[in-house]
Amino acid sequence: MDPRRTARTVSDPKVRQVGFFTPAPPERSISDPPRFQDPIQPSSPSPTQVNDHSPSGNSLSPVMIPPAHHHSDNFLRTALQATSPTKAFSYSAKTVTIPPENEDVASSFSPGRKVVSAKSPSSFPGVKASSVPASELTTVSVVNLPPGISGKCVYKLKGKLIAEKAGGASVEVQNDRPVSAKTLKEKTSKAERRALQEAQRAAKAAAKGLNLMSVLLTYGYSVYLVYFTFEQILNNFVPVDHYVFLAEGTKASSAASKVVTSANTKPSKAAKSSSQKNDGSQVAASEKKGCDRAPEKDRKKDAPHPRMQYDDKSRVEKAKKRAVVKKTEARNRVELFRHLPQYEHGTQLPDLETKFFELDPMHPAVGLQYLSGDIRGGNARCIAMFQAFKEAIKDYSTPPEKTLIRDLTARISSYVSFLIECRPLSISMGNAIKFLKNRIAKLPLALSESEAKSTLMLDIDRFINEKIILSERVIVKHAVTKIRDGDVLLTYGASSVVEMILLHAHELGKHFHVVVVDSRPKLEGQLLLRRLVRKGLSCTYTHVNAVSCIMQDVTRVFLGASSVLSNGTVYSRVGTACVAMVAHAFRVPVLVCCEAYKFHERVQLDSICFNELGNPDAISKVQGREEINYLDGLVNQENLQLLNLIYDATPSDYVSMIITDYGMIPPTSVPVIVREYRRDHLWS
Amino acid sequence: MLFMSINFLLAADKSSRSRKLKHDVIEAVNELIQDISTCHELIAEQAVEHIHQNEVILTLGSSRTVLEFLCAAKEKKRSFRVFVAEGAPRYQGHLLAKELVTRGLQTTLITDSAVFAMISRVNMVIVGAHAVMANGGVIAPVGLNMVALAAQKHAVPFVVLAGSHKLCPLYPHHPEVLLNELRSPSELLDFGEFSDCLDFGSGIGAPLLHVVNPTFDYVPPKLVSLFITDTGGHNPSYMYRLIADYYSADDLVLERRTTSGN
Repeated sequence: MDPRRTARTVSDPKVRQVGFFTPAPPERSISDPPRFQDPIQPSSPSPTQVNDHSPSGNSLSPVMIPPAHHHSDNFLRTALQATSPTKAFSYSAKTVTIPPENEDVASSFSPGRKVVSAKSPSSFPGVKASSVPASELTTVSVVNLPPGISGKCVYKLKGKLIAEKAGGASVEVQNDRPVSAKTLKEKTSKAERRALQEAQRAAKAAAKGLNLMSVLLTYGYSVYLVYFTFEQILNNFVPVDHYVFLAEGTKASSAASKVVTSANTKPSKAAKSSSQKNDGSQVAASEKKGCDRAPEKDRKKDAPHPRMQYDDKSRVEKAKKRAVVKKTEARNRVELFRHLPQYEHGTQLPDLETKFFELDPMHPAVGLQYLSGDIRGGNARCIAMFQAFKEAIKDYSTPPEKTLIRDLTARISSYVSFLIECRPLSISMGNAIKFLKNRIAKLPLALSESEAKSTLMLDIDRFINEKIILSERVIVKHAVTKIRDGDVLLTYGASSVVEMILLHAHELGKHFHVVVVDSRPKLEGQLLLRRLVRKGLSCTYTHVNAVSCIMQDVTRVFLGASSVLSNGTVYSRVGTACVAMVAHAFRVPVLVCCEAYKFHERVQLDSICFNELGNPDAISKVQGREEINYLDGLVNQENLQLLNLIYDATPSDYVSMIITDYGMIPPTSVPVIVREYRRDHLWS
Repeated sequence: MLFMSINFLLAADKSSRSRKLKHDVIEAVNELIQDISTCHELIAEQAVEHIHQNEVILTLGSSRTVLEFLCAAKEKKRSFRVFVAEGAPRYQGHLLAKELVTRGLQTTLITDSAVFAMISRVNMVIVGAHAVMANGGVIAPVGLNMVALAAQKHAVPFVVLAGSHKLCPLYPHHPEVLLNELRSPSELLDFGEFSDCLDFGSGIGAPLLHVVNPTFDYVPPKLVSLFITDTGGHNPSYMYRLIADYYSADDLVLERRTTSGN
């Protein structure tokens, strides 16, 4: 084996565990150690390793930015090594270019996976793992599952030979090059031809997988799962047009063509996934690998929601038909923000109230509270939503002839769209919904309805406790170490975490002064100010315009965030960017406090492409200042527009540090957290 | 020049020369009044040279000079849109928005906190000033330093309109404090709700809560792209020269001489 690789394996086991194509922690600890095994020191998966990565291992120790190198390049390198010396597999160097796709095919082919990952870690010791070091550079890992779900998966990574054996039926998928590829070579460029070939190869492999799966899966909805496989593959091949699949119709069944057509009828969906892939298919593939089939689809399903472009007339019309409540479009909209929804404030309210008791199982109270602004702040909204979901799950009973997994997922989706109608979801809520849907999808089929319901409710409680409440505490613990006696701390708006930090530091007996900066129209700072003053903290209150006058006395800026995006951009209450910018200009460190569940893989450069619009009337009227009434008669004037932005995006260069539950990290490390850690913990 | 005349006037006896001096002073004052009233027009005349078609302009607060500048461009059939930041806590932006709307300009009123979000789509920031210091720094309505920083970040020109009567021969030192004015906290907070915390007599001797409500901001010269005065456009680095034209060296040391004289 390559000595370099071995050395790193030993010194750095942590990285190894985040394998390139292993979806879930339990699974990973089976298949990974053999994969990176040192022939001299054969290792077997130890239970301590598993514990390390279970969410309960969320200890308070400040962590630890994962090492810089990623597996994809590791894999690439090994793939490169594999291709030249071993000609056993009839692959030219071309195959090296598409490891992620192949990977994904591999992961989507293993029906056993789902079963394994859905099992709780406690059932884990029953799984025996043995490894067979293969000749040359090929590593083979054999996983023996307990009798109930006995399956045998053999992965020959570099050769891309995928053999699966499940339920006694053994099918070998040999990924050889399709002959038909040559016949299709036309007047295309070399690159196109290559893309075509690769696509065909994958399509063929997929078709084989389809056969395999229809053999293996004797459930009533095997087609449903096949659908998944295809959609997944399809989405991995975004650069290639979908017609490739149509052209290579030799093995594609009717299910496959259905997938193709459905994909074609959803251009925006495809566009969405292609935009996701822009930063390299490797990233996309590594995102994919984290999940199983079912959650994969769920993610696709709810991914476009926050990104609906409201200047797309046809889609808006469709959405209107679905809508539960009637909404009136706001007049005099700002041209720049046509793509965001904006409705007359309060027009939904009476409509919702009349439907209060009609809106079967969902409790519209939460939506109403969002709408009226009674529940504010990412965490509060998230918890309220989860409580409502819990209620809904408690009342839920599966209708006859339906399966719980599918029906409940659909229910949750309808609740979510209802909430969106009340107020667009925050990014953190999107993440939380993903978590819940993932949980539903991974429910073991054998579970009875009541068991499934209690499992889900436990999961929800666990999410609230671990991802929100506990991580807030961890953040407080970290952040307090950054407060010294005599500090002047500035905060903007009202962040629940920052408030906890300040109060905790006060309880610890630190002497510091707080500057609360506030802005119209919400004036959330006043609420924070009142709570702080009540606890005896010495405060200064000012508005956002005066921030540059006061900044020279400030020693630290603590800011909350609605979300942290993977390019380090902090998406937060409008005005945060101004405060961070001024702090940066005055060389004052800016510390952003944000729970890791709010991190998102989206990237954003400005505050315009994605945002939320508030009630424009809040701009024209100044609360508590009746003498400011210049605009009273002019609100309906054609050429006057009122813009009430809710969020803005703070560029990462203004952020000195992000304090999260994994520790204190620079903004450049956000994608690491997003990719490596959250996937393990949240989607496991 | 005005101050100098007054100085002479004060020093003068009730001689025959005093009448002549009085006359001169009145003349000078009239001239100054004339200057101030015409400077808006002179500045507005230059608008077409700076505002082109389909431009997006951002301003904060209200200034008569800015209003006339924008309207002058509008009268020349230029169509452009204006973002007006409301300029808390005086909310003069509402007033400016009203004026602009009634004169038919496309106006969007935004909160001050949204300035950073919007500036990436803005072509030019045009603001008024309270005073222009000798180093080219500007004493301006509160909030403009933030706007200037945002404009610099996005490489948006930051243009200050100032009549020559706003030139000030002083060099700013710690202007955020020394050349500022603090207004009433009641503009920010409702006394009724917070009176208990603002009270000095509460136990420890110092109030728990302070409210800072400054009137002016200092914009350093490096953040200003251009000054447009009634004599044309100037760089911030040239302002000391303009000031030298308007104030004689005697004026700069005026205060010291009078104190030593007395």
